[in-house]
Amino acid sequence: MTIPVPPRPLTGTRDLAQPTGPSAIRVQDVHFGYGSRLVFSGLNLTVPEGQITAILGPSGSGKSTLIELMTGQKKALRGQIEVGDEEVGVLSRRALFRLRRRMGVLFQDGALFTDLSVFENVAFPVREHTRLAEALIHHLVLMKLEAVGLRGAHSLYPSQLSGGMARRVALARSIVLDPLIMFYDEPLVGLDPIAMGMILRLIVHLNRSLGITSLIVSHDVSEMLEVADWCYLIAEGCVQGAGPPASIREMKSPWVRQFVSGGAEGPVPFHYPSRNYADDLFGKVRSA
Amino acid sequence: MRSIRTLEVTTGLFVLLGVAALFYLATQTTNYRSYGGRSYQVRAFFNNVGGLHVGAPVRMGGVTVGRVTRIHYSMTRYQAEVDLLISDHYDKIPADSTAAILTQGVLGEQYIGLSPGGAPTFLHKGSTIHFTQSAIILENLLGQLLTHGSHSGK
Amino acid sequence: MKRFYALIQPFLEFCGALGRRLHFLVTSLVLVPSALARPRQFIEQLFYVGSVSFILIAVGGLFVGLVLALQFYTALSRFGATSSLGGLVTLALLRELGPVLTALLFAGRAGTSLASELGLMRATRQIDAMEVMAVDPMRRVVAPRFLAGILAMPLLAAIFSAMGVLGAYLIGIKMMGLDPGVFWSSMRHEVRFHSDFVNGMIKSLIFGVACSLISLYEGYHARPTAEGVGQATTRSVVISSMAILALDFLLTSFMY
Repeated sequence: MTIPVPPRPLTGTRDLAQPTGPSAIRVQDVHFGYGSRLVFSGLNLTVPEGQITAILGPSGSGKSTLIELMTGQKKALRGQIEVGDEEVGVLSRRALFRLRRRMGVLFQDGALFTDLSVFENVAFPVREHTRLAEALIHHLVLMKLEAVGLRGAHSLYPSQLSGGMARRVALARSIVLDPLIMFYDEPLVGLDPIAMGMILRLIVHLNRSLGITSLIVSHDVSEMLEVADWCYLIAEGCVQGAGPPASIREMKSPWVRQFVSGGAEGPVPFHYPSRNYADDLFGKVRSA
Repeated sequence: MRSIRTLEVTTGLFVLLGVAALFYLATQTTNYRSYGGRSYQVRAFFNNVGGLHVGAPVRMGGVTVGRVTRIHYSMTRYQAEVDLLISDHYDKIPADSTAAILTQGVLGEQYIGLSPGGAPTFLHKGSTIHFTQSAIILENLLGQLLTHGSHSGK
Repeated sequence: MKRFYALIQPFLEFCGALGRRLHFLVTSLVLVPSALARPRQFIEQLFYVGSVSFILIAVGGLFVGLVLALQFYTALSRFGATSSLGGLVTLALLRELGPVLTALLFAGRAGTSLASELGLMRATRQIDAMEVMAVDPMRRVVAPRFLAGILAMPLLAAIFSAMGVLGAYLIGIKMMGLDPGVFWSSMRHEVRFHSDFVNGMIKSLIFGVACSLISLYEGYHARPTAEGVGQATTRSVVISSMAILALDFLLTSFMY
């Protein structure tokens, strides 16, 4: 498979610090693309164990694709992704499924099973993967629902839940088998501030009390800088900046400054590339 | 819990209805029973069976009493041999009955008509019907008619 | 070289599409025993497939029987052969109209709902969620629905034909005043158990496989957008209907 030409790299300096301590996930020189469009061209990053890592980047920068690569739903064109001590890209389906049992993924909209009640949604992984007695499943599910504050909603159906509640149920479902690594795919999108606060509190709580390695993919910069221990900024197919939140705020790179402060003008222009404005208005009318 | 019960009951009902329909169609609208029911087999030899085919009904006085199960040519008698399967309900058919290949309507299906004789013994499994009347072949009939007509014309 | 490639591209794409469907069929068939091992989900799906189509099939069968009997009665009375009405209607139903019309109605009702259900699961990422939970969606979602579809089809076809016979009875005996004995006995004389009834049921079993497979495939591989789900649903009916009619021709020419 030929690798398409990488997009124009952003100019300017990059601050690429390396996290210290043991790593849970290592991404080395990963290339990935759809057709001729290259999403990643030489992506390198490591996710430290037992910490909260935030992957920040603009929409369409392939952040969610990164999670799909790490869980083995998609395969990289080149490069390696190691989770724990296993290389995801070369695993058989059976080995991949074994690896996934140690992972939890929270999807953007929760992806709850619409034909199952809240209780059955949370019980789903337990029923599929274990042969626990019904009474035990009952205890386990209610404990997890209590942890996300929705024990009282156990008999509701997904259609009766608000967006924030659905995401909390989905969170309970993804932690019911006690994963070692949690992936959060845009966990704050479309939530009101209260629901946002609840989800953030849960993410932090799960990490601090259970030591779950957490990887959050998001573009909510200010919230992520609050909770994360380590941040990566990705754009144009590779890492543009890395470091603890404090250092991200101090970075000199104009692109990082624009992204963090949310400026309308900067290396990323407000205007889509076009002809001269005056020419367009007063020049000859182009025949379509 | 209640919804689960309704679900099971309804599913069961659906399957039951489906199976009942299958059973009904198989036994009540097809010839299935005549294969399974009790019956006995007899033979009859014909010079010409015409358009008779396997599965054709055997009738007595218009009532179906059995059907044709096999037609082949006997190389010992140089005649067509026809096996008839007759229902056990009709076990008092006189042994000297006549079997004729008849046609339903002008161009209808051919069937075997049995006309009872007067013998005190009855047909039983494996017996042969001795008195037979072959199919009327339209071509032969026409041929005879023509020759006869030309003779009388002279 | 490039031109040659452009020339055979459509053919290659067609082969690819066919191959993917065959792979889907084989995977589903292999997973059928695992669906049987968990009867709960399979029964749920059988209920769903059966209950959404039952009324439609029963009413459809009745009307088709009524119409067939009326038409055949008119035609047969011209030959003075109305005594064969029962046999003729039943033959038409068992050999042809029962399996085919049931499959077409099934494709329109149960098939579309299967396709849209799976498409929706794809669009709302429920299938992805299962994947990352290390649960095989082919096993958990597709296999029980596939099995339910295969089993429901012959049962529905039998209900259709039985209702059709009832319709013919109403027209022939109640309306046209035929002799009931002649009506029922013509059925038993004309209709053969093996070549008519059994072959008809084999037909509808194969239609069940084709219909469920196509609907499930289209839904499972729907593009994960609202538009994609709509397209998958439409495609499931169109492709199923064409497949049913084409298969019907093939099967009929092989069987009879």
